[in-house]
Amino acid sequence: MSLSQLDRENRAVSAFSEWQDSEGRVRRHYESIAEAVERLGPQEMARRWGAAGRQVDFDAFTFYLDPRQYRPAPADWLPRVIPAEHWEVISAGVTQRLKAINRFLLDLYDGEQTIVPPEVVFTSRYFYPEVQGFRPPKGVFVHIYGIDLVHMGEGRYVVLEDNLRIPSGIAYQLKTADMASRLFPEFAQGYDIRPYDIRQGYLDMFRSLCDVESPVCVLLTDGKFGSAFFEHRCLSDLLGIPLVEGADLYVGNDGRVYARTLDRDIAVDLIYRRVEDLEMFLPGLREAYLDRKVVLVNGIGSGAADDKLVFLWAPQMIESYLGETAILEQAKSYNLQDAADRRFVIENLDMLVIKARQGYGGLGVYVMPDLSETHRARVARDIIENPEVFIAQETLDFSDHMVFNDAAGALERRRVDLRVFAIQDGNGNVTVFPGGLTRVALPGGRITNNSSGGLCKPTWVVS
Amino acid sequence: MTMDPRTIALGTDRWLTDSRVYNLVWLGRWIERAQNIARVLLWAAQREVDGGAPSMEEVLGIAADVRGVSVSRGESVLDALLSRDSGASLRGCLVAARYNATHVAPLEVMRHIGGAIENLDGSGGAPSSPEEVAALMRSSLAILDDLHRAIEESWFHTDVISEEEVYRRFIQQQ
Repeated sequence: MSLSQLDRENRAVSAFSEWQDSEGRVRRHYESIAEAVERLGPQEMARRWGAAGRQVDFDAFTFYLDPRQYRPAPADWLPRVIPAEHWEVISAGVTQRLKAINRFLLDLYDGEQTIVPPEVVFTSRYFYPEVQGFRPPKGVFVHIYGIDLVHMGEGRYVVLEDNLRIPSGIAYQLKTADMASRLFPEFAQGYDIRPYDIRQGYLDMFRSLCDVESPVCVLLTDGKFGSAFFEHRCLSDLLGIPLVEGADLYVGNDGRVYARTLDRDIAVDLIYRRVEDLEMFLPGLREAYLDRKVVLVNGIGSGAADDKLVFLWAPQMIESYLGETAILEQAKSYNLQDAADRRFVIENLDMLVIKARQGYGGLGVYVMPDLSETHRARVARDIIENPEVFIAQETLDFSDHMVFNDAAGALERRRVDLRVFAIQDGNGNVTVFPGGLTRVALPGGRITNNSSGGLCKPTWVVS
Repeated sequence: MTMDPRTIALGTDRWLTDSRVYNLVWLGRWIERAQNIARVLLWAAQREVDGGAPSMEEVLGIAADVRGVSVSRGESVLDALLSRDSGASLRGCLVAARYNATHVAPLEVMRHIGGAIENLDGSGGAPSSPEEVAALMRSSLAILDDLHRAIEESWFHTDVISEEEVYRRFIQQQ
């Protein structure tokens, strides 16, 4: 079928469209949604989009780019549909990668890892020398893992980045899926959407990491002006654990972490931390963690594997620790400290993506084909002067998806990525939550991060 | 609160931490300020509609002075009290209240604050005549009344301690 009323803005953006085949026919797993869209028509779609936007605003479903500016999270409500056979590959690949990375971190801080060159791993901003010799509770550094994937077509998903410090987005995944199911029930008709239970998964994981039966758990936030504060509040409500700021906690004389409350001070067993610079928020927390007085999710030091240069060695980690070949391929990346790589990058700069090693949220990412000549020259100078700060990655022609432009009353194609979340408990069990958060790039762009203005999109895995 | 914290740790979010109490108190203060500004604007506008003197502009000038709001050149006193981007205005108070609400308040309360802001923003441009100001303030106060009801019905009646008790303990701690 085609979408007669709505597809006038339907210009090709990438070689592979999630929604339709190369002939312009809607793919089979999108037919029900496309029929619902056709039935609703542009006016009703625009009205519903407006109502959804109002609810996003009223529910404080926000993602702040500027803490002084209240900003509802931009979203598109046309669901992304991932066929179950694609998901099985993604899920297995994410599980494999998470296990290997955790093993790498254990070896790294045991002083035994030999996969990543020392000059790479020891120059990572998030390598913490004080963690050396420390084994985290139950041998788990990475409890919550976010992996950024792009779809190249026909079930070929490629890893762009690993997020191992404080990956954000799971509440956005929940909220967009929840709102889409309530506000656009017709989209879900005819689909067998795979369910998941984040609450139970997280609470079981927290319990498995502690030696007490009912651990006291808190969520440490950077406060209500933080960009993803919505997620902190949402997860605190969902999990039923108190939301605390740094000033609510202190490290007692016995080395334990306590929460100050008006009634009394309460010892805390586990902190689900949503801040990176722990010492800034709670002086002494690092020592408390290293003295095993408190469990941190994720563990201090996990960011060493979050480094975009360390990323280059992930396939070798999988081979070495698990004796397996990587299920998910990853974007070809270049180490600018290597003379041959650097020469290649300089010669082919126009075709590559340059990323700051420690960047996040789309910051420090330069898609060279999309930049002006002047901007490109500036980045080239930066990487020649500071090769240790950057990596280069091939520019991928990843998939696009239909979004509804309510102002124009038309569908349009925009590039999308997929952030998938997984957790690892104290027994080494990994759970990958079906779907993930689909993020949509701005028109004509490739950067999908919410921090760079990307939209959220509901995502389903369907049988 | 006499519950064993371990029994509530995974079940509720009722700890009265400093940050929670801070946000509760300021949420209340901002809403109260918003209500006060709305009442002053309504009174001033209605007085002029009813043909009374002094004019709305003069009354609002006095109100601004009393509140310590300085009106800059080119700005009307009505704008300063209604929509200026600061805690001096009705809108500014609601925006500040919404930030505090995002930390502590149930969804129902956040929705009412969002409704009050939308009511101001969606009024088809800034009101200028006393009739328009009065109508806008009536609708704003009605939403704020609903907000109070929501606070009482969906929040404190189900909380483990009362609003007064929160406030009392907070004052004691200072």
